[in-house]
Amino acid sequence: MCVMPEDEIVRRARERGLTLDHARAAALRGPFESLLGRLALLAETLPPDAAPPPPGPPREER
Amino acid sequence: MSHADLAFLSAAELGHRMARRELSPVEVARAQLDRIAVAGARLNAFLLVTTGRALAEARASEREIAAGRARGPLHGVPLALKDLFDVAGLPTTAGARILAANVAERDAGVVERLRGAGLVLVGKTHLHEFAFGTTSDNPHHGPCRNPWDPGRSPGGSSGGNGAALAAGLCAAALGTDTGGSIRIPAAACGVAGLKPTLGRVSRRGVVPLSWSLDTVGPMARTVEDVALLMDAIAGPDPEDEACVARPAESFARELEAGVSGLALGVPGEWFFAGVEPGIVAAVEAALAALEREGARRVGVATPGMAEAHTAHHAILAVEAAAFHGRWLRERPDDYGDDVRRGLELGSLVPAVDYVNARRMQTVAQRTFAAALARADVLVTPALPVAPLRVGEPMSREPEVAWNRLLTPFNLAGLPAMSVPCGFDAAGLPVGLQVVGAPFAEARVLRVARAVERAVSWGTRRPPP
Repeated sequence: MCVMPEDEIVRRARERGLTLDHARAAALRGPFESLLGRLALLAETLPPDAAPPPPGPPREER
Repeated sequence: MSHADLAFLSAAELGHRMARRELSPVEVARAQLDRIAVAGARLNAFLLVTTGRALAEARASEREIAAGRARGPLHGVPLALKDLFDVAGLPTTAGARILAANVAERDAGVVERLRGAGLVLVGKTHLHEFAFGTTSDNPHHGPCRNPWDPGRSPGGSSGGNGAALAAGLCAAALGTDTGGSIRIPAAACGVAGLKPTLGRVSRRGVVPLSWSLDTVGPMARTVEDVALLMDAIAGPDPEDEACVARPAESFARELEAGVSGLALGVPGEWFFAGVEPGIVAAVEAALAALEREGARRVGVATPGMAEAHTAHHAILAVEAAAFHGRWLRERPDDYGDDVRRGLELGSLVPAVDYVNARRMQTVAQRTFAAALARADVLVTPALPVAPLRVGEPMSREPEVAWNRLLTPFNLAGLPAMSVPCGFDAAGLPVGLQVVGAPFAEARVLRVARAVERAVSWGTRRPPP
């Protein structure tokens, strides 16, 4: 799992127009690191031919 | 008939008796409104009670039925709407301070349909702020409470619907399900709720949470009522490009066909490991009852569920952050803390990770297509644990999230339903989840109806 300083979270938020104080950044850090870590693991499992689904509902398989 | 007995009649039974003029829509509406004033307030189930409007609609229903112009099986039936649906002239607040002054100019697509079917709107129900959460513990309106144990959450985000149905405050309700928001309160409150196939029901006029995941669906006390509500709301909406152009159909057509000869796919590890023993016992007892009626149980593999839950979380958070971006920048303090934190989290997720999460949607669709090639439906518990205590924080971590058995089916866009299948040792309701192939809602409802018949609750109701 990555370890991200609170300053980095504050900076990334500012880039998106959000104002985070250090208390909010601290509260966000754990869930954010956890999600990024899980997304990194997820990326490892994706088969190369898995594209995002086309717009619209799922296809009928049966 | 007492008000209490009247309040717990099914929507189908109410409609039937009103069509035969054995019951008056006005009498029924008054009975519901009286109960809402007492029990609804105690449970905090409604954000808006539409007393005058409900009585006017009920009188109009009575006149039409008397004149031989009955509109169908739900004409005159009391309806509650999650406060996420536009009703012309009424506020749509999404349970949020940010939308406190938002008054709808036009009915949502599904509201137009329900109005056409003659249902009587008694009010708009409590929800988790902006539908972004599973407890219905709302910082602006206080917590909604579970009729079976008021110290517990009714689930969410459509918590007011679950509480109102379980307490006999309405006979029909409409909710939304992006990550379990129909099925969680259905399971937690002991009622039935269906998340249709993504794109099956119009979302026009409904405050969005996540465009890739949002669905609109019915909740009621019986499976038949859910089917009748689906008949009323499903169908193309030329003004909603995400709504498929499929012709109307009867969702009740297979309802009483039973399960003899059907293959029930029961997935393993993710859907049973870590689930409370009382919940597993109730689900296993229901499965055994279905097998006695001729269904066949087959094991199916569903790998990748932790990744599916993670992908769902990322997509929901990112798309919600996109919808809320301007408000989040300009009015962050008007959000409750948990919703604000979820939106801030979504704002920070890198684009590559979002795309990979969307790719996981395709993987989940393939996984469930393979499982459903071996079975007619999948059957799982709906919730892994009993309803959370009021104030107990929810987690979004995949191993412990309250909705972790539900989100994979949102990700894949499949129809999925929670139907009551018994009680745990503490006397709290247990929900069983039935999942079908895309657009196989009628099959899902058929199996759910068989569960309902097999584990009849008799006259058991929440404490008054």
